Amino acid sequence: MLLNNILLFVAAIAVINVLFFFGSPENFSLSMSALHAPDIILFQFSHFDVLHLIENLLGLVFTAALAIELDLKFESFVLAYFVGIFVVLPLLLVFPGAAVAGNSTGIFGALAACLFKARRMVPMYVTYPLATLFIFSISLTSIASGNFALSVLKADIFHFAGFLAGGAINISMKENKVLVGVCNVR
Amino acid sequence: MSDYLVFMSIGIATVAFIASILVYVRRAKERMRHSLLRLERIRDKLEG
Repeated sequence: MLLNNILLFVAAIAVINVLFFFGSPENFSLSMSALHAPDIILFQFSHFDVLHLIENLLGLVFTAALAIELDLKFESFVLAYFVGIFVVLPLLLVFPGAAVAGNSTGIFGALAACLFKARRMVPMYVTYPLATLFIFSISLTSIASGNFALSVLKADIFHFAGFLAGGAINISMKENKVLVGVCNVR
Repeated sequence: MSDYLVFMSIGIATVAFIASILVYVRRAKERMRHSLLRLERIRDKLEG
């Protein structure tokens, strides 16, 4: 199963992200204070620095590997990914000062879909709180070190919103309610 | 710079979390596969 749909999708996203980072002179980060129409779509391919890009690529690859291992449907993965990404738009009305770039919220959305699918093997009462802890760990460490900045908390809230949205859209899907955590073990 | 290192380590830890879930799922599937094979052997025995 070398040519998996999820694998192809992730490879395409990774290539676009890398091309945007190294090829585009412009930053398409999304912010209410300087809103341009293309940014509404293109912010997901734009990254602030090389570390941001590498972490998102690594997260995307591992989440895709988990999705493939769980036989997650391609539609579920893509839906959770894009819902996770575009949940940022209404949140920007709540936090108008924030600048958003990258697909990390989509990765957390897809991760939530995977963790929901894996609930028979790893219970959700373990995985969801752990993932939430990882999401907010940047804020927690910045509070502990005394360098707390509101922008860090906002970034964590965006990630958490992506995670919740991706999970919620998968939990609400009818077929997921019928096929309770079934995955092919053959 | 130290903030940068903290953010980097948390990012790596989050990726490691996803990787550990992946490993756990692979092992769980392996266990399920073995159980299935055992059940199939028992069924074949019962059916003669």
